Amino acid sequence: MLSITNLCKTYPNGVRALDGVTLDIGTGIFGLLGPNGAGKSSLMRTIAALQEPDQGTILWEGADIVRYPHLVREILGYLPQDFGVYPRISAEALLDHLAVLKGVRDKKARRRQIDALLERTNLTQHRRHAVAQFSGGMRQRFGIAQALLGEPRLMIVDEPTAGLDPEERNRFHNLLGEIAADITILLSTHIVEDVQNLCGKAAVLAGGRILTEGRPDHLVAQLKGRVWRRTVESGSLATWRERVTVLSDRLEAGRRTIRVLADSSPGAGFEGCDAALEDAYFAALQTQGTEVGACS
Amino acid sequence: MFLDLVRFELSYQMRQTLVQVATLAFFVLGFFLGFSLYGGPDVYANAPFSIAYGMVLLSLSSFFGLALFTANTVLRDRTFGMEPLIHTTSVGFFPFLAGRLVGLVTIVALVSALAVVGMALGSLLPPMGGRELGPFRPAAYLIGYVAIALPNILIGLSLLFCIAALSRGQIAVYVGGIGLFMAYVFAGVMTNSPIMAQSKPLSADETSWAALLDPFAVFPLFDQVRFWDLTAKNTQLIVLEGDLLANRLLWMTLALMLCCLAFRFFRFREGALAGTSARVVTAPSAAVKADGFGPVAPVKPDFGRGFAWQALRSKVGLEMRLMLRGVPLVVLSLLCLFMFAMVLSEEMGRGDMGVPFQARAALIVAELQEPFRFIGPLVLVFFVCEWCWLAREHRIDAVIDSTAVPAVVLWAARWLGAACLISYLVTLAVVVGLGYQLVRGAGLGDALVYLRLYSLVGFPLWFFAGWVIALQNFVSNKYLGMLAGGGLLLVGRGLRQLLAIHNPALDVLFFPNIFYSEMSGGGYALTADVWLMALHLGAACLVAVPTLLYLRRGAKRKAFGANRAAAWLGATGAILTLTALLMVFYQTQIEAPFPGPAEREQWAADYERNYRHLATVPQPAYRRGKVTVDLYPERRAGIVKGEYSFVNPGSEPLREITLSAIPFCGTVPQVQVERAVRKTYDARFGVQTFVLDEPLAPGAEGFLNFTMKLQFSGYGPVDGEFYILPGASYLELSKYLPNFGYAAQVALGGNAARRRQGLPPKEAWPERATESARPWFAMELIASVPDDQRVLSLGRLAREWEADGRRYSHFVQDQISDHWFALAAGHYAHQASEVDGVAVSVWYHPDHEANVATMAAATRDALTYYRERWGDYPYDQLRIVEIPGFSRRFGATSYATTIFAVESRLFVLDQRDPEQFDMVYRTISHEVGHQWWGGLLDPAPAAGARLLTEGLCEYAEAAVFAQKYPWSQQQRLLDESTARYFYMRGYDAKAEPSLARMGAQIHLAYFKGAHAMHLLAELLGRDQVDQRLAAFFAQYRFPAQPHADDLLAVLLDGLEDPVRRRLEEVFSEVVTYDLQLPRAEREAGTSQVRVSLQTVVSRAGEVDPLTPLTLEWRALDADGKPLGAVQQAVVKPGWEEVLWTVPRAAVALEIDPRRLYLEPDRSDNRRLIVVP
Ligand SMILES: Nc1ncnc2c1ncn2[C@@H]1O[C@H](COP(=O)(O)OP(=O)(O)OP(=O)(O)O)[C@@H](O)[C@H]1O
Ligand SMILES: [Mg+2]
Repeated sequence: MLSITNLCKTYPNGVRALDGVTLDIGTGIFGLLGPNGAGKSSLMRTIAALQEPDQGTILWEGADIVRYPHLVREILGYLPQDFGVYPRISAEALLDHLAVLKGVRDKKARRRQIDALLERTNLTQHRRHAVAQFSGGMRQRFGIAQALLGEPRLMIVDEPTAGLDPEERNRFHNLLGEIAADITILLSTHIVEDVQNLCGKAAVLAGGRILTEGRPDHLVAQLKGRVWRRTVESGSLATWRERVTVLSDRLEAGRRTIRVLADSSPGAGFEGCDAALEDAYFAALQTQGTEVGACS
Repeated sequence: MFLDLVRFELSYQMRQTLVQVATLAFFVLGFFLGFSLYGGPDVYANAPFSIAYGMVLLSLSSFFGLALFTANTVLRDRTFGMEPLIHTTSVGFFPFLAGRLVGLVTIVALVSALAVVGMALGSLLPPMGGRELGPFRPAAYLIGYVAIALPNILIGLSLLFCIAALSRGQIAVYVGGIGLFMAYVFAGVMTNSPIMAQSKPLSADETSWAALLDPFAVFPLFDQVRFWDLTAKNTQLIVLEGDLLANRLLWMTLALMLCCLAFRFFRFREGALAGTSARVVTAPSAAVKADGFGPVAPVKPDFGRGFAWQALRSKVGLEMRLMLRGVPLVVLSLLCLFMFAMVLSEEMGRGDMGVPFQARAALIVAELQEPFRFIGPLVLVFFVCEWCWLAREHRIDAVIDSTAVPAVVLWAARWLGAACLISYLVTLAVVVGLGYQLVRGAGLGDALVYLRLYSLVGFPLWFFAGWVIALQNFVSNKYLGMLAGGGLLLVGRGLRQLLAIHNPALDVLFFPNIFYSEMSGGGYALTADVWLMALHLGAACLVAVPTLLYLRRGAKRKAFGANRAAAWLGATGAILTLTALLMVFYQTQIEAPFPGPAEREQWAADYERNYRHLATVPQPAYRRGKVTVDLYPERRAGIVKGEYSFVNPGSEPLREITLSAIPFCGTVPQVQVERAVRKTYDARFGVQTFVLDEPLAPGAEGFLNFTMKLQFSGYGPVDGEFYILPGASYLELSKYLPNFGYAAQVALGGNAARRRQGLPPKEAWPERATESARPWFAMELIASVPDDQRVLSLGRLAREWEADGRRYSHFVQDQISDHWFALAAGHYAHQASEVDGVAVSVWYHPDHEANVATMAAATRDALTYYRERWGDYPYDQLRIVEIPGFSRRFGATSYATTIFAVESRLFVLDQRDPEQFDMVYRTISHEVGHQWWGGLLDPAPAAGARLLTEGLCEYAEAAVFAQKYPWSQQQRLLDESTARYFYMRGYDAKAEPSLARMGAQIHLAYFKGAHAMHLLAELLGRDQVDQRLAAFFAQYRFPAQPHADDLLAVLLDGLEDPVRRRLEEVFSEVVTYDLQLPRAEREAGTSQVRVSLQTVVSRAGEVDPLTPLTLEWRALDADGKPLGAVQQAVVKPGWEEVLWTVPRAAVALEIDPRRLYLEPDRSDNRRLIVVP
């Protein structure tokens, strides 16, 4: 159980990346959604004890892991959003090294776990290749494998599926689902669908604040009957934005469709539609007043 | 476009913290260099020559910064991952690279110019060491910058640029930087430039090669000023001409070529040489299997006991593989191997007069330590910093830092990595050392001595690495951290000098003296080094504490988990530091107090001020002494007791007597004078005055006795005249016992020190000393040592016995011309023989037999020659006793009946090659000569005295040598002596006196002396000279006190001009020559050769245009062998053309083949005959 209270972090350059974040995260997968620069990675790095918050507490099973970072390090599996590797070192050797650093000391057990992980991330055939020469997706899979070394009870994965092909993404989701039963997984992503599929709970983060938080189906349920859509002229988008709360607009088969949040039908031409998690996400951003650009 | 690039480059660079800090650092460096400029004794601190040399040092120190700049400029795209962006823009590679290069050169030129400004400012301060300051001359700085510093920097820059552009690897650039330093060491070793230990003059051919090949122009610089006298050195500007110009042109061309190379082969493509090419492996998707594996079983981690250790091993192992692999390390290793081999073959293979040393590990380790002083810290700073940034630069830091590995492991991995690197480098050195021994055909029995390299080079470097790691942790930019690491060395030393703390052991990086003596079976400092190293280890542990507490981990600084390790390290560090400090304090302040250089200087100056007047107060003289010495070598201690009788040699009764004993290690001897009361006692200077109950009548005898304790600590510089060590000891004891009157030998010698102390320049020796009656001194010495050693001293060994595990030796020597004796103790083997009733013996370390036979032969030959020719040897003993290499400031020293000869200067010379100059034979002949000249004949303490001692011994050695060796060998020594004379006189501040009036100048006594004695023998013939010397000896032997004029009177008696004139000139005047044979052209079809001659005679510094000189010449055949007899010609000074008749086969001509004229440059005395 990870409980975060009133976490604040301002970088030396003045950017306030976390602004009073309070979250309780239990076992299972917890999704963290948010636009670029929302502070997701900052939050994750802070939990992983890679930086200190200016304010606030982070407790892991009741213990203060800001003050005692080794407590979190001992149970952590961390996949950074962006990472590199040593040159000229094979996947196997690097995993072995990292396993030792993570306390997997028995040689045989280490061997076995590394084999299994390589298998699960589909890297077995490249085990002897230098990781530095992997393709982007393969490197990401390597990152996933290293995060699973040992016996992590808290996993922090920062955009783990970025760069993965659909097949590998599925594979990864399965893997996560399997292990999520007993451990806490904090996952950040921009892909709302992933959250929907995977996460027991999710939060939307923007500008360093938690905008909304809860089970994905609950978040969707809150919007039931409040989402409307219609097709509009491309040029009239700005006018619509002034008139109604536009959640998103997208080009569908050459025509522009907007989705609008409103307690009752906002006018002629709008038809009610099922709310999706994406709508909840945009709705949350709207409440914060964040400028939301066109999405996919 | 191009200009835009340059402009961007410049503004980018200017905004870099690294550049800003480096600019400041260079300014400070320049300032510091300016403050410590040094061009030689008595040369103005800011003389153009000193400045030019300062520029060399500036450019040398700049290479370190250059490596950082270059790496930062050329490799920054790679470091910051910008390469793909930059290289796909429309910029062509030429303007791109050129922009970078021009930017780099501009920045570097500006920064170094600023350093020169710093230097100019620094040199305005009152210089260190009381050196004098000349007028401020901006031109000197400008010329130094343009002729020396800037070209050197450009050479370094182009090399580094080329490496960076072609390899695009950081390490490669560092290795390049290290290579530049090595080039400096190579150049120094190869050209024997005067800054390296000792300078050996080169032949003319070697000189011009060396002048060209020295990349940093040290050699041509020194060559330009070589024969300048002090005034010229102080005033004349360095000129960019001749060898210096050629050198600069050659190297600038090379630099340009390197740049061209960079441009030719630079490509916008992924890393070329570094081997980091990103050949991307793509996953064949066909191989993707469906899921269906079992879950990944978690493995319970175990952070218990041994985890840190295992993690450390894994981390060090991995990082070693990363860092110590790849081309740059191979190149670095090769460079190191090459450098070590070079240093050894030069320093071990060519000692004095080119005689090699035996390839013994004891000598080799000392030579191998030297390059580490340059290279060690550099390699460490580069590699350790790279290490500290390894994870961050490869962006895997987040992964590693978020694991449970304790901070102490992250820190220790770096320190251990440094240890591995250091061990590797030291091992390379050891391998070269062993290889050298094998190549030279020496055994490897002494291989254990190489462990000293690990301990006395490895550990200090390792402790320093601790500091570097600490700095890197707190500095947020790698290059800045490197700069800080280098700066730490300079700033530390600078601070120490500013604060006038002279103890080098307090530098951040302190190398103990590694010199090893096989005789003593160890070094000099022994436990002192252990404590000093403990101090440094303690300090390294202490700086590790904040490093650990604030270890950078992610963006976090404070690492709570490290507390235990930090506490542990802190405690260890504190205990070590404190214990070591206490120990050092106790040993240097209480047990055996020894003054630092500053205190020593102050002491000597105060002594002189307080007691100078004693020199003229009549005092008694020792007549008889019985001294007991008990040595405890293991404790480095001894007890000396003396019972002496003295007489009043004067004509007035003495009421009061004064005894001075240099308080060594704080123990002033307890003196009791019979029938006298002590009136004053000055413990600081060891001076005590006694009032006699009854005045001591002329010729009457008195008695005194004393006890004195000796205790040595091993701290401070080596005193080669006085030490007790476990395996061997050497004590010039009489100097440290109570002596009557003023101890003139402790007075401050250096002019700078005297000025600093406000003392007048040292008084020249008086023209004539007043006669004083002197008794013979009779000595008895009873010495004891543990029974595995023995003591050797002067005179007959009357008795020897053992008691209580100690060996006692009783020496008796009835006649010594002064209270002047020494003793040595150690493990000895000996060889004895007899020469006409004199027992000749050589006592040596059992392993040092190689030259013993030569020594015995030289002793025999010299003894026979001198006895036959000059007068009898009154003793029945003549022994040569080996003493440890710590006394290597002299080669050998002669006491009545006993010559102490130094291990490393004579016994371990490799004289197997008969073509080599026989240094051993020659030196021993010289020392045996001192039995007569300086021993039995003791000159008055007046100007010119050394002509009667060293001067005549130069004659003596040459005479014995000439009986055995051909002219070619003697000529080598003569040429070497002449070269040294001219070199050293260029640093003599005083107007040069003649030989008959010289003071203590080495270059006069030995080197001009050798020429004068050669001339004497050539002009008069040895028989004549020997007869005259015999007459002189008979008339003036002890107790007479002859002056130089007395010798000249005998030598010149009845001689006619021109011989008389030439001898007067060489002994009583200061005359030098410069003879040249610029042209020799055969008259077509005849045996006549038209010869141009250029002769310059300078008398006391003035050119003499008038006096004609008689010049000898001879013809040489194609092999350089003489053809026909030596001819004579009388020539006027200046330019002259003459016609000489030469044999048909003559190919060349040589003037003054017998070396009758003293001239600096003999290379122009030979000329091939041109046939039209
Ligand atoms: N080391 C840093 N120094 C200064 N500012 C930073 C630093 N790291 C992040 N920021 C700033 O903090 C804010 C939050 O960044 P963060 O990386 O946490 O966002 P994110 O939610 O992970 O975004 P993304 O989806 O793009 O990964 C951003 O405005 C960013 O510019
Ligand atoms: Mg992020």
